[in-house]
Amino acid sequence: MTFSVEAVDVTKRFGASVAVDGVSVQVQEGSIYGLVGANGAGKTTLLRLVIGMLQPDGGEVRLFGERLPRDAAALRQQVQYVAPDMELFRTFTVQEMLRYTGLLYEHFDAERCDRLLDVLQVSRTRRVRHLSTGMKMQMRLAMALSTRPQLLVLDEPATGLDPVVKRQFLQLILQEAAGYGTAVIMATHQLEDVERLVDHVAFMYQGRIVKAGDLEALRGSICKLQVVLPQGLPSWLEDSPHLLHTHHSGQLYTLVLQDIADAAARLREVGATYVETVSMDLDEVFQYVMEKEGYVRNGILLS
Amino acid sequence: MAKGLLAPGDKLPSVRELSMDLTLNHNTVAKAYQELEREGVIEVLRGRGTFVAEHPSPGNLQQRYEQLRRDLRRLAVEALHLQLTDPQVLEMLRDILADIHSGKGDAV
Repeated sequence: MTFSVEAVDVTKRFGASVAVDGVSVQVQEGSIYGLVGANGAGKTTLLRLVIGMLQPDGGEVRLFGERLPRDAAALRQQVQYVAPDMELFRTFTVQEMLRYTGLLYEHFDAERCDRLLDVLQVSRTRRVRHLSTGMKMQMRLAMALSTRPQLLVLDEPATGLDPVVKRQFLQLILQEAAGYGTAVIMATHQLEDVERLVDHVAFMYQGRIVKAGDLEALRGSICKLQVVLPQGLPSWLEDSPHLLHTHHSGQLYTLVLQDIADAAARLREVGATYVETVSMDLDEVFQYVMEKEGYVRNGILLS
Repeated sequence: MAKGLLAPGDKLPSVRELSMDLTLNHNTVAKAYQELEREGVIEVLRGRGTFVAEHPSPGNLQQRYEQLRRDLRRLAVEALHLQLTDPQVLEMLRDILADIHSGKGDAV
């Protein structure tokens, strides 16, 4: 099977620091892939490697089954990148910016573009430098979707969007994936969006993917339990890679476990008198996975 | 359906429509529909759409009884924490059931 995006063991260094460290990613046609991670984890660098804006120091990226060489003009016709820091011509009007895009992309669909500008209510006559952050993001998305891309790469797509526009934005992305088979990779900190939109997710930390997979499977592999353990934490759990987090007051333990089948039953075997599964949102799952990786920030009291 | 807002034979939105409406991944919605179809709660008529089944049969009855029992147990513990007596708890449950039967109040 051919993936829309296949990154194999990709590494990128900037001087002495390794921004992306042996990362592999596969995105299928019509799939929405969420990339989440700590600040500075390498998400943006990975996205830029995927679109060929950066060249990897190791490994390779294939788009639609073809290797991404330096002069991949034909491949780039099918790829769109939407990011808040993507350069625009500040003195152009919106109309001029779109005409320019139309000249660059052979599949540019002027009718689609008009409809997008109408629904997103972006004024055609305004100058780009007079647009707000959110309005610029809307224009970028309109530009991107007008070229009928096969791959949509989004970096913090919800930046600057109010809740009403954000919903519209997310609907367009869903429609593009489900209706046209466009593959979508999206890096974001908005975990509630990830939870709703994506089918696959990867957690990044310090340049590596520390956990990845089908969203449902990933959620199913991590559970939070409240357990009464009169004999304390069983020895097989101490220092175990399965144990993401533990906290106890007296005999009541809160445990966050990963990749253990029938965790409740196994805990009863070692004397647990009470086991209750506590539900977690993706935000919490992310925090526990990061905590296991050693990423913790403490609160401070400022005087 | 549980709330009586949907009747047998009612048409449900398509996976596409519902996915847009809820801004949820369309695979998630499709999986939910598949599950409901397998449990016989909804029927998919090819080319016509998705409908509430004529005789919706709640699936995995045993599991759901057990879940209900666990939920009730949790609520009973909460009631004991509030120092309600057994007759008070039963009275409350009777009131709620009476409300539901008489059509008063939301079925949550």
